[in-house]
Amino acid sequence: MRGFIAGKLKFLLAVLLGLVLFIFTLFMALPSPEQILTGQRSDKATTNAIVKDLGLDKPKWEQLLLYINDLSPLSFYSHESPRINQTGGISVGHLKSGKILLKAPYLRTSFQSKKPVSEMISDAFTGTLILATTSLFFALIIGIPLGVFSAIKRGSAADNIIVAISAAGISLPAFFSAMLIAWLFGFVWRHYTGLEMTGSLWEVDPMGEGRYLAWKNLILPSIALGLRPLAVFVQLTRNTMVDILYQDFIRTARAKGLPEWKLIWVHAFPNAVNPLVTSIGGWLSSLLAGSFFTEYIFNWKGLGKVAIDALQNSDLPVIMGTVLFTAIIFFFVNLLTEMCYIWLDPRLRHG
Amino acid sequence: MFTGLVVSVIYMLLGNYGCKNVDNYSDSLIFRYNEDATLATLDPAFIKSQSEIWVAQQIYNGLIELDSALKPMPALAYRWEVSADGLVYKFFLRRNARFFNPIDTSSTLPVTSHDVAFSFGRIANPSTASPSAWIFSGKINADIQKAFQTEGDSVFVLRLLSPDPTILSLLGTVYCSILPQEYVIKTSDFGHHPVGTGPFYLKYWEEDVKLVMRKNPRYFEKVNGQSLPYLEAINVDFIKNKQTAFMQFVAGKYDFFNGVEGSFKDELLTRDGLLNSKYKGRFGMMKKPFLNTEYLGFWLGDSLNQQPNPLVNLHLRRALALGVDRMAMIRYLRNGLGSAGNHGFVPPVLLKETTNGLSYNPELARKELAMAGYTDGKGLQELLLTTTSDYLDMAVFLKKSWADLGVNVKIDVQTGGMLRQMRNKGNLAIFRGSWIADVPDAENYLACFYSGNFSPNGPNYSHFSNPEFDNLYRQSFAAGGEKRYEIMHRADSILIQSAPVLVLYYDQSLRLYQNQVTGLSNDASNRLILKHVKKTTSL
Repeated sequence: MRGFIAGKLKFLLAVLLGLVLFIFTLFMALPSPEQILTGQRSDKATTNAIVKDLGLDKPKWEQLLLYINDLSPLSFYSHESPRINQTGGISVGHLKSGKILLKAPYLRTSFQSKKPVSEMISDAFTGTLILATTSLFFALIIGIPLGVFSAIKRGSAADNIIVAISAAGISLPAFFSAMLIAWLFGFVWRHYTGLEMTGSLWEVDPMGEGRYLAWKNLILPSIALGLRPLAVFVQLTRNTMVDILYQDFIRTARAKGLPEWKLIWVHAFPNAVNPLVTSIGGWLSSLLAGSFFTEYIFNWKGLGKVAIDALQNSDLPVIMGTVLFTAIIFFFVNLLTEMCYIWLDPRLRHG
Repeated sequence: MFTGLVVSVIYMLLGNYGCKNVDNYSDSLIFRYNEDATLATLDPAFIKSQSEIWVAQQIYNGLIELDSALKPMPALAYRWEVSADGLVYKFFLRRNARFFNPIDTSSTLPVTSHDVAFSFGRIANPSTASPSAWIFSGKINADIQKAFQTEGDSVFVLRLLSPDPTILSLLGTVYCSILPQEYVIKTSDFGHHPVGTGPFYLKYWEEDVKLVMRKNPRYFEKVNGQSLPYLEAINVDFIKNKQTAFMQFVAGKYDFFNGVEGSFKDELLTRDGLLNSKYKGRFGMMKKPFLNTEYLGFWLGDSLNQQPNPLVNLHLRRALALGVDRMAMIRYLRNGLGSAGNHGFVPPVLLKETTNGLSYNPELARKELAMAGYTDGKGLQELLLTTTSDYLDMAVFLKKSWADLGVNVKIDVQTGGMLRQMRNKGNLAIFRGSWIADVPDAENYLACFYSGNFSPNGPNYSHFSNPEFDNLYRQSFAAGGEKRYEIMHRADSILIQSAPVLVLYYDQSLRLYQNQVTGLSNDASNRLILKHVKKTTSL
């Protein structure tokens, strides 16, 4: 297992390095950030001062190396560098020209707001994580029972309706369902639902004295985001269960006189879990990384919103930080999924 | 997570939906509005956008402020003197103005002349890299200490190198707000923890989620013996989707809504710019000419992307300008919001005499096109018009108008940042732009075509150069009164007849407000002044 994880970590390192190079190259195609940071009457001296302040006056290769140095847990900084204090690392080596520091990866500060990128990501990720997991939870608790029910009632009118609706659900784009749900339940019927079209997990007291959890704001975006995975889980569970329910061991169990609920949930369902785990892993990754439209429509503070704003503003440190963070999330969710396979399927464990 | 969900279910079952208000203030003391743009900073030296200006205006004061007619009036300086040569300005500071620090409310730091010198020096110092450095650029001695001087704690002296009739207006902008030197020096992130003397102070700010300002209990201004402001708090939400924000305004969640966009303009306004009948009486609307000229710029360099540039031909540019029916454009694309750009580049409200522009005249446009050597557009290559997606409808209208003359145009849609970059490098034949006045003065507009301001070092993106225009522009600084208006009118006339620019329209601001809101004003700079606002009943 250790070898397996070590191999995966090496792969992650290569992916991260590749991403840094790729984004740096792509950044050349974006408008220069000083075009966005200067006012309409800024003169050359001001523009040059901004360029210098952002470190964009240095050659591209030097900018890249300096970024990798900041990102690396083991970094070298000259005595004059402000990073010595900014990064908060511990000194592990003294050289004549500077220090070698052991520190957490330093993602720099935003070009726009000057806020630390790590702080921006952690602020936004809480919202995304809660939204994604709640949507997935909603999709699972409804999708699996519906799929099982549909499989048991195969060929019936109920089965046909569930299959038809779930097929429609799969083809419904997330932004469309989000807009529809926000409009209907947050505007047209707001007096009955008591829900708002927009809102984040935390709401702020109107006097600014503090913030409090507003779980009700989670309801509409979770449903909007969870609709597609729900439809997928219904179909996946149904199809797998249909296969299993017609196998010999089920017939034998039924002949032995086992109660129907035990037959389905103890004997049949555990065999249908593997494809579901694959699907859940994939959905969790994509919901964590790709819930931008839902976040935008419900004005839910999350990682997608931060990333898109950064792209519009050519805010390189934030673009880089969010992409690298998303890559790490994908990696760990996939790793977790693979470990679940091994745990669930004895054949893989022993193989 | 599971615990969270259980809590959520209990919370919802208990029906605890309402907003908390720990101090139990009446809703009539809370003013709410939405901001669709992100606020990057509230440091006056770095703010750029209107969204940042609106919040900063509540937190800070300048030496002087602009009244509703945008004329300078006392603020932190209760009076000022100007030397006969117009080079020395002496400001006398009021003694009852104090900075309010929300972290240390017991602190009663007074405003001194040293704070003024520090605040202006901070903008002018190149190491600050302030986007507002242009305010003092070239106008003061390179040695900042010689330009910004103090006489004791309560007199501040500004020394200019040459007279500048716009300087008082510039000092009235929010960029020139007065900051507490002591606090700014020891605060690492002043942009997010601002301290000022304004009617409100920043209480809470979570980026892109919520901003709350509270009444400054030490604000110096009074009306009829009553301290301003009247409101206890201002709440700003950050819904990015403007249509959603509009629906929230209609639902009564916001007290104020600014602007209109394509997705709901027909829902809100008639073709004549009046409120649609379904909204009449439900809320108020105010419209005001806004010092923003929307235009198309023409690149006048000899070559364009290594090819000869057809737009150097004056007759071609004039033909393009004469071929656009701006009245129809305003009526059908803007629902009557704004006035047709049939005059100069300078908005007519800033001049005493109206400039005659190149109004719609298809016959004359065809003649100009023939004089340019392209009768009915024959022999003219396809022209490229670059715009952002917000103005695509307008670009399509222009393409159609010019197609009627026989001129083929291709539309290229770019992001705002990319358009600015390409325009500054002179890579765009025809580009859409807008110019919002930094100060209410025609100089601000004419500067865009002065040959000393060629991009990328200045705002002359067309690279227009005309010695007579340049001469008049320079003269405008030394002249005063009626003479100055006359000079600027002549410069504007030369400019518009030379057609380096096609003026589309002069903008109008539109504000919607709930019926219980009173005291809300509007001016040509579209500023948001909330210190006089009251709400009569709660929502």
